[in-house]
Amino acid sequence: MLLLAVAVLELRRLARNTLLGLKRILFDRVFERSFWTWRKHPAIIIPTMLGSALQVILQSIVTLVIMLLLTSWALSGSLSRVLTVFGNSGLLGVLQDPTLSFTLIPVVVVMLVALVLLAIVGAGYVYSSEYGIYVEAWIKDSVPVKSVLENGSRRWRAMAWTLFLSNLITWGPAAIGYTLIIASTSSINNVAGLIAFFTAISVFQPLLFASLVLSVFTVYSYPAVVVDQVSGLRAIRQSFRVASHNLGVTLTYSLVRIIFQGLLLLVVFFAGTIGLPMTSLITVILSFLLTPILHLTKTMIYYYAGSSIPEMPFQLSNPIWQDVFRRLPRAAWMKIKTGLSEGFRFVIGPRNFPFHALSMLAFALGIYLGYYVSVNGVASFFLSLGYQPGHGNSLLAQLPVPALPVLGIDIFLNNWLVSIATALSGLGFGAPSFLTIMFNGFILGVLLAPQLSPSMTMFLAAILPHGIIEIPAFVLSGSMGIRLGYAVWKAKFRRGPENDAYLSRTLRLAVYVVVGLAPLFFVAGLIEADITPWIMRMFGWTF
Amino acid sequence: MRPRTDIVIPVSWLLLPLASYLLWAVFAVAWWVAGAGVETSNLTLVVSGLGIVGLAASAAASYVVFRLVNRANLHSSRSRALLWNAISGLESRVGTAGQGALLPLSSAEENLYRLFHGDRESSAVLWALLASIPAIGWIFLVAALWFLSRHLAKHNRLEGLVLEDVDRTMRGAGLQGITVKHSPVGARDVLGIAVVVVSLVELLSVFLLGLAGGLVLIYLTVGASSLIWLDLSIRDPTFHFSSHSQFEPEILRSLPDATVGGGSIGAA
Repeated sequence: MLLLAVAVLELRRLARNTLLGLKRILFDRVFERSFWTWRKHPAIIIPTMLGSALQVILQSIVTLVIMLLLTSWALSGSLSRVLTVFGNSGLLGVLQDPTLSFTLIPVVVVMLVALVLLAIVGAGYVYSSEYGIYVEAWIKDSVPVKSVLENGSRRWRAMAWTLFLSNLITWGPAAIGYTLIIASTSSINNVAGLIAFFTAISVFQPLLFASLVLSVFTVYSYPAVVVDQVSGLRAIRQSFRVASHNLGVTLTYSLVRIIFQGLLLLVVFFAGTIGLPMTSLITVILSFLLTPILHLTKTMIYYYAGSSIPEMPFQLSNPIWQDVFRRLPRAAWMKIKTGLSEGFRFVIGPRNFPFHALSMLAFALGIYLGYYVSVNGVASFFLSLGYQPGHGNSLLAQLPVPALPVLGIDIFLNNWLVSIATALSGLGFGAPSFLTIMFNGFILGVLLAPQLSPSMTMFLAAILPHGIIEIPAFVLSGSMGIRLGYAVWKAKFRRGPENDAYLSRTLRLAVYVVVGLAPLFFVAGLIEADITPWIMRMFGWTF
Repeated sequence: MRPRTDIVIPVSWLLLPLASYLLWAVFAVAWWVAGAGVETSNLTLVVSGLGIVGLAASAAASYVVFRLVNRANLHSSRSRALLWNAISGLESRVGTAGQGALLPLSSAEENLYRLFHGDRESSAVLWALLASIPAIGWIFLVAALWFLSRHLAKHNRLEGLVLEDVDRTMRGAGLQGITVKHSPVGARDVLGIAVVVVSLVELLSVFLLGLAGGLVLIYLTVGASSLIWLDLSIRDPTFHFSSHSQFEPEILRSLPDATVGGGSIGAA
């Protein structure tokens, strides 16, 4: 009898140990908590904003090159000839022109190298910040804005290296296949070329499939860098290990991501066919809501896959939809109100006047340069392409009247996203913000040329109604970016805790200021879509 | 916590998938008419408008799927946590003295392991998204509902075994037993197989009726059967939940520590 009791006890111990070892990672549990983590710590969307700021930094290199080249050609009197060559034989023709290629090719090569390097290093910083802050937000009760910077600086090298290798391994096969197709299209006009083309297509398909399969297994490479403090091939190996051991939840994550994006694209497609532009709305949903939540989910799936981490406890979640429709708009409005008051203080603060002045200078300089290149050849080039002065965008006339407010919202969101990126791109020592504002002025300057604008009244009728709100708002975001650049400069070259704190404070202020700009861009967007075309018609514009 | 997991989903919610089903049928007809050359410039506008409304209806229908799968998941998670706590509580009470209770306790732990292992929760988010894909979403809807029915049937069976052992252990330990009611829940395999077979036959009928005819038949079969299945899935767990409402208070009366705390997450 005693033996039986001992055997039973042993059996129970074994059963209990097995139960304790039965750990599972449930996608919905992680996903729901990711949503509430996102709600609790709004700071986790800042790295996503930094992602779009990185795009602006990269664009600013291109715009700088374009502005410099156009201005130097205008100064040397060769702009008209360059544009004629461009109009006749495209960019390739310009590059093949011996008089131009001598300066143009080195500039383009340097620009491309700078773009690639900056893209990798910048993405390393952004992802290091993003995934680091996710882990922090999950574990801690509060996440200050300075965590964005701390996490970014902590693992940016490891992340950049992992990012490079991970993309090379994942998308390398598809890139090889695509290159083969492009190479084979050059000789498609004979039978051998045709055979080569179809061979390339048949090779591309399995290579693309291989890339897609690899993308499922390398999905945890970035979380591995912050969670396990590894980098490069080790991070990719860890990702393979976790993905293969938790294939169900990894596939669920991948499918959820694909379907979410596919459905949103479908909405854009259907809305686009009836004249409702929704691209910016979908971009906002993706950038600020879905991407942070899904990336957080991915990071936490990886986190809970760790052998020393116990199973995530069972918790009931409050209904998400009720929160999205009831509490979230109120919470967003509270942030906007705070942003408005912070923005107002930023505008009137005497210490910020130099930044405002620099931003206005960038805009004015841009207008001047744009006007200069326009009267020296760019305007004639546009006219040769069929641009009709005094004739507005005919798409506006085709849109049904009920679609105009939707267009206004689309313009608002697009401009707001650009202003967010402009302000935060100031992290690149302020130069990208300066250049972006300058480029906006440049475009305006090009249109200001007498060849393109029949009269100053007509020009102002097209710009002023919405521009009177939009332009100052843009200049303000540029000013914020320049101040952010100044803070980065101080933190980098005059090291000290007070300068680090100044940078954190400025980043926080930048986020609030751009959030506070939303109502201004909203009003400007509605005016641009609904009222400006009407005023333009009054002043002689046709559509 | 039970009222928040074992929720009653109103049958009126069936109107949402029904609306989605009808809207996509109208969309398909409108698209067909447009493609057949009877097109006017406004028809494209109508088709696209129907597409947007259809997507909204699909989203609403997929919410019903989400609630159904999520309800099953939450119920399973809570039941497992409750039984785990109950068995842990019993273990500390029984000790080594009560050999009459040891065997059923050991059996309960073994069956609990089977329940843990067999209760395969699937993602409600994923199934809802799959079901919201226009047209082919109906196939995923049928798959989700079949999975759900099988999951409930298995959960009901395995949980019944654990409960029997818990009851015997409690009685063996001198506590008041619990009311264990046996009522098997159907896995709906016959319905599932029927839908698959009929759909395959209809797919083959494409050679006889043409592509459009075959697709219309499949849409009718899969759509109608998934609507019926949704109704069944809404009602199926009712008895299972009511049995929980009986034995859970009985367990908690004898073993107050078995309460599932867990707390809840949400915005303040």
